[in-house]
Amino acid sequence: MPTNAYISHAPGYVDNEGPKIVTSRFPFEDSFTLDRSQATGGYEGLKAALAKSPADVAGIVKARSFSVVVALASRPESSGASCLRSGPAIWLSTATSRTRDV
Amino acid sequence: MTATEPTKATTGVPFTLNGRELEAEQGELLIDAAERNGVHIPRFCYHSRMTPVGMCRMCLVEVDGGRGPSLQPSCMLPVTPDMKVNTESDATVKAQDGVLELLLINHPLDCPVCDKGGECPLQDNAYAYGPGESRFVEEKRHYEKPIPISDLVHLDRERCILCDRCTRFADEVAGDPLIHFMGRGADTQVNTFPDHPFSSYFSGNVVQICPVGALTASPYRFKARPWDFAETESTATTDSSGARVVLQSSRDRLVRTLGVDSDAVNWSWLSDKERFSYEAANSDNRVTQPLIADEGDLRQARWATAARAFAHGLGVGASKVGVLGGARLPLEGQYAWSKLLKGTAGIDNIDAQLGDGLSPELVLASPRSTISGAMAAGSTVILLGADLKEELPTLFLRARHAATNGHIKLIELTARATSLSPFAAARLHTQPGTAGQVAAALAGDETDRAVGGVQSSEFAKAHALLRGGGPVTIIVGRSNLAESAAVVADATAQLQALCPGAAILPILRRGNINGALEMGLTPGFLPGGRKLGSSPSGWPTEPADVGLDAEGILRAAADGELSTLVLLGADPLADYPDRDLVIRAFDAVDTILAVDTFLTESSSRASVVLPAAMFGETDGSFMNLEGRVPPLRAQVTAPGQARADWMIAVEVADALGADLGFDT
Amino acid sequence: MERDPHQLIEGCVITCYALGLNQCFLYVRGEIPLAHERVAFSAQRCLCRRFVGKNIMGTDVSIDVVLHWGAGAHIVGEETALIESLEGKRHAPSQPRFLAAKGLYMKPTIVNNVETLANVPWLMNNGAAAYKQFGSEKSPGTRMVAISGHVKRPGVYEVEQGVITFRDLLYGDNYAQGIRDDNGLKAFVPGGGSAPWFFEEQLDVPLEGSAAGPEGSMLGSGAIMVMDDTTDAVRAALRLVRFYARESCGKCTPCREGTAWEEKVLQRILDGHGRPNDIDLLLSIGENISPGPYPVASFPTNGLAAVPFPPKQTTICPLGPSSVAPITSAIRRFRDEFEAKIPAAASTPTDHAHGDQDHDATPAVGDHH
Repeated sequence: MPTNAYISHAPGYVDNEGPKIVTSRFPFEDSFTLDRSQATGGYEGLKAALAKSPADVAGIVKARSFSVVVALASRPESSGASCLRSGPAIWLSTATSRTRDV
Repeated sequence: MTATEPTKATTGVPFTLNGRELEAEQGELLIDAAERNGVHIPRFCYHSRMTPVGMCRMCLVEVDGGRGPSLQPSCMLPVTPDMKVNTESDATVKAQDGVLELLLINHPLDCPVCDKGGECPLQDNAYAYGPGESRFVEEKRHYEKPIPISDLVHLDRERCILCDRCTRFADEVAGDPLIHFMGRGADTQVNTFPDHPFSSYFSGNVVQICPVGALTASPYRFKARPWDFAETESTATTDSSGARVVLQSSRDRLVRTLGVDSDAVNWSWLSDKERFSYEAANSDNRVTQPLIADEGDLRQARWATAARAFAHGLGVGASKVGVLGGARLPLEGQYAWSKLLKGTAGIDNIDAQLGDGLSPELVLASPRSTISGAMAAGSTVILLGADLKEELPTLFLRARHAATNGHIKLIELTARATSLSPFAAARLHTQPGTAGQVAAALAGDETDRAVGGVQSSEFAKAHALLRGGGPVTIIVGRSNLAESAAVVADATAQLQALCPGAAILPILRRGNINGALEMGLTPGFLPGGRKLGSSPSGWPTEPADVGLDAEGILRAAADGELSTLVLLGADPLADYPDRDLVIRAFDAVDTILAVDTFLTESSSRASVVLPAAMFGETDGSFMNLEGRVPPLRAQVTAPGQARADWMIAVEVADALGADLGFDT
Repeated sequence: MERDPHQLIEGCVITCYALGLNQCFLYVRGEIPLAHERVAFSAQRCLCRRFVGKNIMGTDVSIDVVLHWGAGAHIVGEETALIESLEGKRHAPSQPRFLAAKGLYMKPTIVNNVETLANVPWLMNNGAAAYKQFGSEKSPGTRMVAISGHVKRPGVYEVEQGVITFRDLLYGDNYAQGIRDDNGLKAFVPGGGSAPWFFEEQLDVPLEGSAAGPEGSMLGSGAIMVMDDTTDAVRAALRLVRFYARESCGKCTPCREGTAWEEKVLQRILDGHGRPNDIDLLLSIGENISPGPYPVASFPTNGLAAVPFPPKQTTICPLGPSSVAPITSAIRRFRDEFEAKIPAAASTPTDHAHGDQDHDATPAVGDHH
């Protein structure tokens, strides 16, 4: 499918200098296609994850987000200390604090 | 502050309420625990028979669960150990004040013309907890004033405080989610879907639980004011569930019936039949005078004359008289008529069931369960034949609650899907007439059978459930009138053999039918469920032989073997399955005698009609399907010369020259 | 979801695998049809390529992804409301419950937002240590912010958390490049309409939740709205409050009645029909929705200290208290503007620039992605 057949991007994103974690593909005009995704490392993470055990995968994510939880726990949308538990619940707390974005 | 003494051997949860050390039950909600200890927390949306939703925020109280005091809705909060609750703190008072002010800003000030005025929780709470004056100067919300959402219920959305009680009831209790919230924010309203009225069998309950005057019942609208009421607690007699009610009257007319929260029976719910049938008592068409046929017309007569005529019709010999009906009467009336007919006149051709019931042997001889026993957690309930929603709506609500909450395992052994099918653990939908075979197969060892048209997988489920232990209750009723009652009786016997401890709940149509059977208004039995001839009755006489049932009576009458037909509150022309047979019987007999509250199609063909007092006009007692005997209370006087049924029996006995031995 | 839906889908699948889940629901709000279209299309492609569905990438892992399009409501961002909506009920939040035990269809459920999940593939590829190199120690990684309003270059930016400040964001060349027409900054909303406003004094607060909280606000959704000094504070507050009044689900009393009342009072003040005690009335309604001192930034000129986040609430969810944020912030800082609009109280006219704009000077409210 030719690129010019796509409807234009929703406006908003401004490309700027700085680290890109979520927006690494945003500068491409066809950033939303599977081809572009795979050409730029898409689904490599999934492949890597499937090679590990589920617990290892969870461990990696936990390692990065623990302090995020602490930082965000004071927000009103987080439903309180019940979420601040070990294990998968950590996922919950980042979720509860940011669900407005969904 | 914490008690250091060793904890007592109790399951109670210690907590502090306004400085008092108290104990709550395990899992008890704070609002209930406080109420039990004499502290009323104001509420609108909370209803103890429905899931709490915490919507109105009126029950906010300051709670310290260990992490500092915060405002919590007490209707959503189970008491936890060492919780400190303050229902009188400044924060609590301010929050309740605020919620009330917010509830009132859009609530119209039409209390003087509102049916709820005088018994309105919003009014009461506003007096008790409210700020007194509104700071709201804007235009209030406006909607079209009351719109009918069903034939019986009107909805005034301006008055609505959106507490979710009616919508929760419709969805959660009745299973008829025909009213719901629409719109959002301040424009949220309760309404029905266009062209789908709130036609629930239970619609009247939402009027009772509405905490404001948003839902009003058309029979009651503008009829009376709450402060004018006289009221008494009684029992609904339209079906055999025996729901507890409050009868309210104004100026000696019944104006409203409310459900009473009786733990054992109806949990405050009523079917619309039970709730609104009081209107019959106020009807202009009541029979208020004794009537005697005179050249084709029924003419008013004096009681003594009419009783003599009635006695004359009875005096043609015991074998020449057939009696139909008796289920409308209170127990006292049933006993009096039983003693008059069986113990004085020796008549045994008496049947209170008009071909639509169960054999008296089955009902009177089987061990009886209770509603709460049948619906207790861990029970297995076999529904045999009947559709509860159609037959006993109040019992249907209890069964629905128990099944949806996983308290009971419901096995359906019915000819077709019933209103409880969605909640049944096993659905044995048999071909008509094969219930007995299916029941017999269930007793066998084979777990996987296709018998009587039942799906083998459902059969296997039922087979396993019946061997799972736990008490078993069989709810026995007729699925249709084409199928013989013997099919149900056979299936019941098979199931009783399979589950030896199984008790039954008979699903019989008609109000006090269980009382009628108990009082011997059925062939072959004397009061107390004693078989004829089994022991001396102590009555002046006793029927010589076992008499005919309703079908037998009508056939005998049609064949010219009977000369008198007595209608004890029965209307067989409208109510007996074989109308043709009834017409032939009516044409063949010499005399028809009736005791009735209305001139029905049948009683208007009688030669003597004696006017009877009805529901709400006479004291007495009732026997429900469990065998429970709740009282019936008179709240208004019977119209004209109508009398209680037992008095009519005494009058007729007097005319026969007998004395039933009753004192007034 | 519009720009890189595969990143989200990949993140979902990895998360499900890590937590041993086999069903993933993507709830896309009705307001963003393009996102819905692209996620749906991408999910189909993934199904064909076996990135989702049965036996993913030839393994015995099977994870279903179900796409659900909401009908359009702000409050479905609240997780219990989202679950109600997903179950086909009204979008009303229920009482907080532990979703990991009883969530969707009363099954254990984990609710996550798009941004979190979109981080996961990168994290898998590069590891947690690499991730932690970005951002501050307390808040590693980056986050998306949407800067809107009176700036020269509004838009969505990915920024390092905790490292840069609001001044960098609003004035930095790499970001918004300053206020339009080089006007002065009046106020800015640091994290979505529900965040109390920040002012010049808070420009040097780092972009980090733990830093914004004590200052009296939050980062919330990352939607930063900037108002320059031509903005009418009353009109801005009204615009934000109106949003919450319209988006209130109507379930609990304080939010349903309170937000609508606030909107009416503000509208009245703006129309010149204010009453002398309307300012106190507004604050009092706010107290009924969110009791106790409401979080607000400091106002050094008047010697007023900040009230730290979060607010208390009499409501079920934080939507109602959100409507109080613009009111308390605006009244504390710009009380004179309110008073100037109230006829009886306007005995000493002030010379604030307002009322001469024929357009809605306040930025649009809403989260950008």
